[in-house]
Amino acid sequence: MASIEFRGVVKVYDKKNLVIDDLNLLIEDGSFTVLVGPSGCGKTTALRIIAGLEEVTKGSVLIGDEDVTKKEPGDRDVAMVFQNYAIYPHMTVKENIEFGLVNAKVPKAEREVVVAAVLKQVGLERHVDEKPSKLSGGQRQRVALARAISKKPRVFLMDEPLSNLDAKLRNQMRRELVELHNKLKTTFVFVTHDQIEAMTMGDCIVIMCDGRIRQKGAPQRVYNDPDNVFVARFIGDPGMNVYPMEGGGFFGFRPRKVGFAGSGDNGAGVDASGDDGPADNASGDDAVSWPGRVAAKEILGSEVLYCVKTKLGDVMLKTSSAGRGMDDLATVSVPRKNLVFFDQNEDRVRDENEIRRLAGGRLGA
Amino acid sequence: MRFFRSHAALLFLLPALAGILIFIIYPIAYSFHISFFDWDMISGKKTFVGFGRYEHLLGDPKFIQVIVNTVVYMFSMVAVTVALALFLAAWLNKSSLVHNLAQTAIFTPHIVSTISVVLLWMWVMNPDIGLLNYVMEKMGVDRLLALFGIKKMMWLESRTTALFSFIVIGVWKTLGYNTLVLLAGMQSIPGQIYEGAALDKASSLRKFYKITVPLLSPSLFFLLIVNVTSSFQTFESVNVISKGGPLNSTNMMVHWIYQTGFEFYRISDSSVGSVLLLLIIGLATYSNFRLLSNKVHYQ
Ligand SMILES: Nc1ncnc2c1ncn2[C@@H]1O[C@H](COP(=O)(O)OP(=O)(O)OP(=O)(O)O)[C@@H](O)[C@H]1O
Ligand SMILES: [Mg+2]
Repeated sequence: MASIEFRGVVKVYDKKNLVIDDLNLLIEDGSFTVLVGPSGCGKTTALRIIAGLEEVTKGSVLIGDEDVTKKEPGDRDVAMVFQNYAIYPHMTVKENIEFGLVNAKVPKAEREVVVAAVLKQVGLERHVDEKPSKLSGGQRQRVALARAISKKPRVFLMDEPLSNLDAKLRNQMRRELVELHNKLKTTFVFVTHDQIEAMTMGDCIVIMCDGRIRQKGAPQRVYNDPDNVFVARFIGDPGMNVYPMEGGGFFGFRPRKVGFAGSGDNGAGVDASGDDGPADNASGDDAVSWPGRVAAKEILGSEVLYCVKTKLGDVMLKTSSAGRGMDDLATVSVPRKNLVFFDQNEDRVRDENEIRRLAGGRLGA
Repeated sequence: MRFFRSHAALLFLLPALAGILIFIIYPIAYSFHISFFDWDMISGKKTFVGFGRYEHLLGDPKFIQVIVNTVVYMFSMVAVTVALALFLAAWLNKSSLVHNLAQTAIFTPHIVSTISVVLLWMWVMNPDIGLLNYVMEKMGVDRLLALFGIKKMMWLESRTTALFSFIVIGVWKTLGYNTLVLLAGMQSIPGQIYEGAALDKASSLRKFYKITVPLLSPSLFFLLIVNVTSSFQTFESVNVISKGGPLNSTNMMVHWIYQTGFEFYRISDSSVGSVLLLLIIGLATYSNFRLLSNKVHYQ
């Protein structure tokens, strides 16, 4: 168990391709931290830097209190699960797990015990002597996991380990990984570009873009209280509706925090479970509304996702009633308290006075 | 219609099958046939002698020496070229100017015709005007040899070193091809496997023996079969350099078969040699498969 710290880490590929720019990040001991961001933002690179598979151009990396910047991967006491598992195709399941233990000079008797224990843990006892080519994708994934667990590392690194699995298995593995983390209490660093995966698994989410951290925090926190436009749009399914304001700056609202005004819908579309309470569909002083037309409708099971074209642009709206049809005229309405504001630099504005100054009648309503 | 459908395949295969039948199966069968006769090419008289010629030849020390030469040559060639190619490929498995140049240099002998290679080496190994002795003299190796009572290395012209010299030439010629095949194999091993091994704390040596070699086993096995077969069939170099001499020390099966059949007109003996060579190669290939194929890892 150990914390991980990036101190002013810079990574430049081929002398010109700046991938990570001055990264400062503390990953707490025993946390399940998820690095999430769009493709190519440097998540894998950051993970590989922790593992020692990639050298830093500048800065240092600490695991525990120890500076490991110059250490070999094998000496860092970390285990990694690769996206394509990278298990040894010519070795049996058992040999795959044993390989690292033999290298670490673990005596044979102890090896047997460890192998049996981890195989039981991941439910692969019946496949001890099989070659990976005989296993399914999910089972191979477990072999990779078992290999990582067997080393009892201070840190678990995982690079999109679930992306090759089908939706059902992915859900199952998500739960199993969270359980595993609860049991082992080791530091987990998990990379994904899937924000749902990030939200459901992590107890701390680090949102990256273009090699920089845009926000770090608990899932609920980054969802409800985004620091900037990027995070607001990236987190959530779909992300926040964000629009520019006339005099500069931006405002936005979550698809669940907006409803249809008037009609028998009765504001049912507005998130009833949200912490801010349901939005009122009345178009009084405390709400802003925009007339528009339903442009798309997607049934998601218990909920419906509408896309409404207004003069703001497309407004995404999530509600539990499927009352509106395509091309229906509809007015969308958001309670003022559900609006969030950003300045010209797309950074969040939280100061009340500042918000009043920014918002004063310039929402395009 | 049914008939046509199931036999259409045969129809398409016919040209190829006919070729195999006429140029491979028939000559083999005919060689077997001749090997049981004593066939005098001058009078044209053919008498059935059963295994008579086999007995005669296998009792002839000169023929036994030919077999021994061939087997020694084959074993040395395979062991040296495959092992050397493996280490060369491991070294060349990087991309830089030096490595690419070295790759080209090593591969070039493979595309040069055997005759040119042989002529080149005949000059290199010439005791008086050859490059090899000249270099050895400049480096003072000849004085070292003098301590052992060797005045001058005769290379291809001495009974003791001729076969060895053949092996040197053969290695030089095949090394490039073997290296290239292994290099291609190495480059198809995913890099992440090595990264996993690095995290597993594996030393370079262990990575090489536990990961590279096993994952390369299909290529290694392929080279083994190909090199065994081609070494058994060495002909051009023997024919051009030595005609089997000095004192039969470099005579090998294929050359012996050619000599016996087409220079000495002992066509029956020549057929016996062909049949024996076929059996030896068959046996070697079969044992390779039996002993090794279950150790080969196919992806
Ligand atoms: N070995 C390399 N050499 C040069 N550039 C690289 C190398 N590896 C990654 N990059 C570059 O670094 C950037 C970040 O790559 P990285 O693999 O960290 O992205 P990622 O966030 O993991 O994306 P994804 O979600 O697609 O896996 C990319 O623009 C990529 O082109
Ligand atoms: Mg990646």
